[in-house]
Amino acid sequence: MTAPEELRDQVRELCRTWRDAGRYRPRPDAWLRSFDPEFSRELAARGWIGMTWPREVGGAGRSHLARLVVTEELLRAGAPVAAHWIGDRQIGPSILRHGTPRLRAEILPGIVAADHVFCLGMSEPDAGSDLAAVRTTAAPVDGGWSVTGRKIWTSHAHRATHAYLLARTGREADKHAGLTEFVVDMSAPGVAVSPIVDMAGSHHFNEVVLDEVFVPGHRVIGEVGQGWRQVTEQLAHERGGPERVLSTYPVLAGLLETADDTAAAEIGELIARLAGLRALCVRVAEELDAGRAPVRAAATLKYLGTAFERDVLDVARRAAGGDPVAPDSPLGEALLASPGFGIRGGASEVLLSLLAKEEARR
Amino acid sequence: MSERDSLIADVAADVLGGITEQAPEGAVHPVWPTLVELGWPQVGVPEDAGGAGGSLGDLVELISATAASGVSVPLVDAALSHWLLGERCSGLVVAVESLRAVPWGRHADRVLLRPADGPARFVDPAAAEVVPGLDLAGAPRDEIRPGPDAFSPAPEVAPHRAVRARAGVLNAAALLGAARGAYELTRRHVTEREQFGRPLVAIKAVASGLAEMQVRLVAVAAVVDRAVAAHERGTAEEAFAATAAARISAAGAATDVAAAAHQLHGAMGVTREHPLHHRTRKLWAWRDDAGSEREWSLRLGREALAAGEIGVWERLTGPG
Repeated sequence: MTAPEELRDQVRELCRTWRDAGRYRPRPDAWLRSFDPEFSRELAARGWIGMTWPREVGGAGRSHLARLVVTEELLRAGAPVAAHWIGDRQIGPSILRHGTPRLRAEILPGIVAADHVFCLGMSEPDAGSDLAAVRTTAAPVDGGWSVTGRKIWTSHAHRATHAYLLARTGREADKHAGLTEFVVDMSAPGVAVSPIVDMAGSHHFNEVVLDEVFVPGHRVIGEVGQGWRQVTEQLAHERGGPERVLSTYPVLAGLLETADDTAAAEIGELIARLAGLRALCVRVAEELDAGRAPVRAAATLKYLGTAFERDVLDVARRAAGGDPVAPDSPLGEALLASPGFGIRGGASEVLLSLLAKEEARR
Repeated sequence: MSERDSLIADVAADVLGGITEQAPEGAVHPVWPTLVELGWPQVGVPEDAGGAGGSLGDLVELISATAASGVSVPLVDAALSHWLLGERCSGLVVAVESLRAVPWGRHADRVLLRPADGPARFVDPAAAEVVPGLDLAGAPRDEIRPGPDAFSPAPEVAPHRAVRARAGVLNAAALLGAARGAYELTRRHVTEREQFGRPLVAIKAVASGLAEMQVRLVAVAAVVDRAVAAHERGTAEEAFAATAAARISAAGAATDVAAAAHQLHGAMGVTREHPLHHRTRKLWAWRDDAGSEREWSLRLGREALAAGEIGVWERLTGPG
């Protein structure tokens, strides 16, 4: 097995080669915005997708600490990783934990090979951070389910082969009950995708309308009606990774190469915060390696990490000294993307109130 | 927290639980002789070097728990001297770079003066004029004006940068502890105190303020642990940089946690009688101890600019 430091060097070397050959341009927020199936397949060929998963589903059986080495180096390089990020980060692990052997065998090898591209059918027009408010319904039909509803803010739905979908299968009074998770083929009849262009003018968001889409029964992830408990665990994977800290790292990297001494104290503070956040990333990875779903630690990391991502931009702006910021410069791109940092994956206010409830209850 | 950490925390809770933090300004809290007897100031120094054994991590736990309890004792200064002097450390010795504002000066048996330039010397406070002063926490910061007989030769000790790193990580641990203490009092207050017919924590902004304090503590704990690991396993340079990060984060959190603790305590927290100030005044005093927050930020920032992106990243993701 490759030692972590060797692994780190290999990831760096790959990114450098692709970058130097002009095959990608380092960008902030690349894990969401830079989509290149070819790059994802290159990572797949090296065993860097699904690397913590067992070998029987195509994984490499590595630790989450080893995976952190790979993900943080990719983010540092601003590499185009969006095509496999969602499947690798959270849907694969969820299927691994809750899926039937059949579902695992059907889906996981495709994620590992970067053939399957997943999008996240969580949010809806009336269910943002309040995920339990989803209205999309899945009604039992012969051999499976018929799904009808609308999903929104679905990044890369227009390129995805599969969607993870959270839908209502029961009408219990408690809105946390009666939710079920599915894997849906994006090519299934009744799935319609329309673009939502963001304020930077780029297209990764979509609206997905599902009109009586047939989903075979074996595509349920885990237990019918247990979607809430399962998705809560999934959020530990969604929130606890280095992409909640490093979305603006390419801007910080530029700052470290160009800033003068007048910015030194502010840069010192940023580096100190980054050191703490990186230590939290390690802690989350260790928890995952120990078989736990560190929901609280992940929420803490995301809450602090996204504020850091934003503050990097402010230091960079002040250090830039008043020249106009071009919208296609790293700082410009990052600024236009920045309102999303503290919203996606659960708004900061909601995370804070989740943490507050736990503190009040102690 | 590892099993060993929680063992240390239990020991600390046994010793410090139930004692009142109240003590006159300028005094050493009466629990201090017990801590000395238990060997706390010698923890983190190997037994064959005159210490009590245990790791730096153990010492950091003890310092943090002591600070959380609110008692005023010279644990950080004494622990630093034991590390510097080993078995040549007897009585309360405080190590300083100048005699202008010596912590615990009036209580010290000896002062180890280590000027930035020139050899280290011992100063005997009994042969000096001690001009009393206090820090914001009410702990002694005395000017020592040595007479001609006050000096005696001292052994050569660790270089300044290493001493700053050691003092910095101990100081960060103390800040973390005092902030934890302030947080715990605040958590208890807002869950017990009722206004408008319900506990204060039912007000959303209060609950958010409390959670905001907690996330800061989690982040500081992570960066202090990282600094301890760098001291135990890394190079001197790694230890210094990791200490800088811990010091800066701890000082920033000290400012915000002290402000939030007082705001959430309302008028209750502003009296001498209330225990809160035994934590918040320490936070205000200590955040610029062992090198000011700004000095540490400038140092870390300048080193980052000199090292460039690759240097910063290597250190960030490297061992420790």
